[in-house]
Amino acid sequence: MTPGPHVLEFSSIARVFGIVIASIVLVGLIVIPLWKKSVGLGSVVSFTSAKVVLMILLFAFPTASVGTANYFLFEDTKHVDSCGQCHTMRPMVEDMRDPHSQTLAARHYKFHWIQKDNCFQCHTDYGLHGDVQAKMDGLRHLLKYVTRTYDEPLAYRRRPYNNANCLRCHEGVAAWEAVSSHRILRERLQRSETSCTSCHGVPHPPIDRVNVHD
Amino acid sequence: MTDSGPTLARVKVSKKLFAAVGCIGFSMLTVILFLAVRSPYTMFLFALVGQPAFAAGVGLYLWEVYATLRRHREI
Repeated sequence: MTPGPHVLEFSSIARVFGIVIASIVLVGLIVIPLWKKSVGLGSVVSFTSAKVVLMILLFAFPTASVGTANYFLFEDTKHVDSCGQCHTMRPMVEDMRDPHSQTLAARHYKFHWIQKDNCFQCHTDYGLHGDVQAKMDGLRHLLKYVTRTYDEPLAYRRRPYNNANCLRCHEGVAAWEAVSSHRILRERLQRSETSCTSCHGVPHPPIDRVNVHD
Repeated sequence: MTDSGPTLARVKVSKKLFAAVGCIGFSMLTVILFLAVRSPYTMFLFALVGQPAFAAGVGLYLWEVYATLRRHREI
């Protein structure tokens, strides 16, 4: 279920925690040397205390802060709004949210077949959330996007689409098992040799209908 | 606080420690930017610039700690 506005998500708490800890480190790294010089802090603070402060400011707090930011990175990039931030993905997100669209993504969205994080639920095996190779691809995409070193329209390279993303929810469900073609093609579907979209329509608008330059 | 041992005033800031402070300070800046402003650019800055800077900073700090400990053992 999608949490209401009154529910404070854990990623929001992580976000605030990360900002506070990083700010403490940053302020500490700037203020302490100045304070040491102007107030003569060095003559009253012991060497042991200085080592503890250094360990906190240069190791413990930064590690906690970067860890929190990484958690936020992986959690936040699951959200649809996060995917829609890159202009190359915007047409897909807009089509998905269009109540008149008949694409697979739009139907899953408007009929609430997927409750939350719609992009992520069907694309779990790549981007920043898949295996190491997928994470490397995600970072490469980020680098290409920021440096504008990509050509439009984008080409989907990971063909065929991995049916496991569909079967994860649909396989074994009575309505799915009741369809004879599903039972006959089960193994081919599991190996992604036959695409689900062959019968169920396109998942997103065709690339020639997407005005990616907007 | 009365301490007869060495004080912070006598802690010599080595080049390694100075570089570690710079790297970690910069990485913290990228963390704050990324967490405060969610965009592909701040994400890039944190993931591909800030994190290596953080790793370098922590590495330099640990190197300095190791060097200090070794020096003390030699003494």
